[in-house]
Amino acid sequence: MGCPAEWFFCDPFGRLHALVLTSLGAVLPEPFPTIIVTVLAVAMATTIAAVIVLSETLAERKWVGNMQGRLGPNRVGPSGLLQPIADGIKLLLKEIIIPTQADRIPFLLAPLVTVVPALMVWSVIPWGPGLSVTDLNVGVLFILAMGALPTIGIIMAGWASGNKYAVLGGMRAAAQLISYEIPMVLLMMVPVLLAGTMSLQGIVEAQSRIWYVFLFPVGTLAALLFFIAGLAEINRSPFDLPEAESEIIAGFHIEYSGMAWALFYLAEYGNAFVVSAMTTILFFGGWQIPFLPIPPFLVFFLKCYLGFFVIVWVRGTVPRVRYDQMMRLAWKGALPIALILIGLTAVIVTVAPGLVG
Amino acid sequence: MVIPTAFLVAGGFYTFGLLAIIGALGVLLAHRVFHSALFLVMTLASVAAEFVILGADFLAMVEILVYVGAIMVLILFGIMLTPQQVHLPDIGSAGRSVAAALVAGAIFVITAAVVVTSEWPRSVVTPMDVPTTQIIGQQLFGPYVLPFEIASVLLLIAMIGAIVIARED
Repeated sequence: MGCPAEWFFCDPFGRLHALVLTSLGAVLPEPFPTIIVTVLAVAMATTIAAVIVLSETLAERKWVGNMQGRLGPNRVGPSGLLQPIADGIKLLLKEIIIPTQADRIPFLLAPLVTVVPALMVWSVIPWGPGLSVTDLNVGVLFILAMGALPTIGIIMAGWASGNKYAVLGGMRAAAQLISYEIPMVLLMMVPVLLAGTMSLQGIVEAQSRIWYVFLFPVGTLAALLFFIAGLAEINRSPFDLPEAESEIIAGFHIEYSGMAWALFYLAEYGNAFVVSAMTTILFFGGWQIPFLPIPPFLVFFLKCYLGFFVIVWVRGTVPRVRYDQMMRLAWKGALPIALILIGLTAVIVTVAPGLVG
Repeated sequence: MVIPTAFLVAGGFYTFGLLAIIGALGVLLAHRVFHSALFLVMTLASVAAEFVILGADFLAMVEILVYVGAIMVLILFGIMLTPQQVHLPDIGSAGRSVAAALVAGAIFVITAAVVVTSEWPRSVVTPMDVPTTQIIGQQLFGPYVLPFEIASVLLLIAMIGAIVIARED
């Protein structure tokens, strides 16, 4: 069952890692091979993140176009495939305008504070058995911590722009992210309790018998709520109040242009993929798939992209919620349910430990 | 030439220590409250990095999650809701400033003297290279369960108090 590790195409990255490590080890003394391989792995994770973001922007425009009876981008390259590259070149060539009212240093630091944690998250994502840049034993907490840091960047951007719409967007972002972070942390504890570990690899391996989403009602409800809280956490529709075009134009990034703006964009789409990836890891068995000999990294990628499709689908169909509705959902809906689910999970794990493997 | 790993670790430790101190100075010296808060973020993040280097992975993540992710966001939120062009009145005369400087300097000298002269006990135990989360949990619910529960009750009281104060009726 599954993909045999002897086949090259089942684990190409692991093979590559071993090959580079041994050939470097023959030439250089320790710790240089380890350092070089680590740097290469980090560079690769970042590159994969950037490429996925490029593909996401095109996929979203195509899908939303189709949902609205339009064609979407179709001019650059065959059926618009080169559109993200053209957009990237355009953004690189654009001037970064700094408003006179802006607070220069925080204004320029804000995109970096937002994008660096968003990229750091990619170093713990398990693409296959043993296939992550590093497998932290506090992986779940690491993702949460890195998910909390961009908030500071968004607030910095909103405040430093010297624009009242930007300040409003920044304040909305702060309130929204604090509200949804709490149910999100609690819901992450459900798979952590079931698996008995906070390592992402460990959580995926613990789901070899049953994916937690099929543990009705605990896992199913937790997965659904986690995904919704994730949408709010990354400011995606229908929770995109910090950048609501019809109310506050573009919110916190209204004054940004060129690459400074593109970094916010990169962080947002990177985080959209990470939310799908986290849902996949915590509830949908990560890189595991029964019966089919498909390479684990491909399984994981497809599951995550399915999650991203749902995110786009929601954007194409659900109207933006009102501010008070969003707050009520977080504090009166998601939070109590999350607490009840944690209690139930703890009871299940204590009373019937054999049930979840 | 081989660079020992210990050298790299020490380099990282002192770099982040320096960053933490720069951030702390920035909190005091910045002219705008918002900048002070951002410097505080820098200090807290550097301390979290120090925890990582010292092998306290759980503590590092919680430091970022609680202090940077929640408390600093709340502080920044509060700053954004307050008017920025507030001119604080001069607090006191020149004599008072001199007195304050003397007291602060004396406290600094005493603290520095204590830090320099005292014999710091060095733990001979090497830092644990094992996951700390489980050990922390077992300690909290084992030997330290009473302080833990007292802290929980204290937090609950504070929370109820906050709700009572914030309620408009």
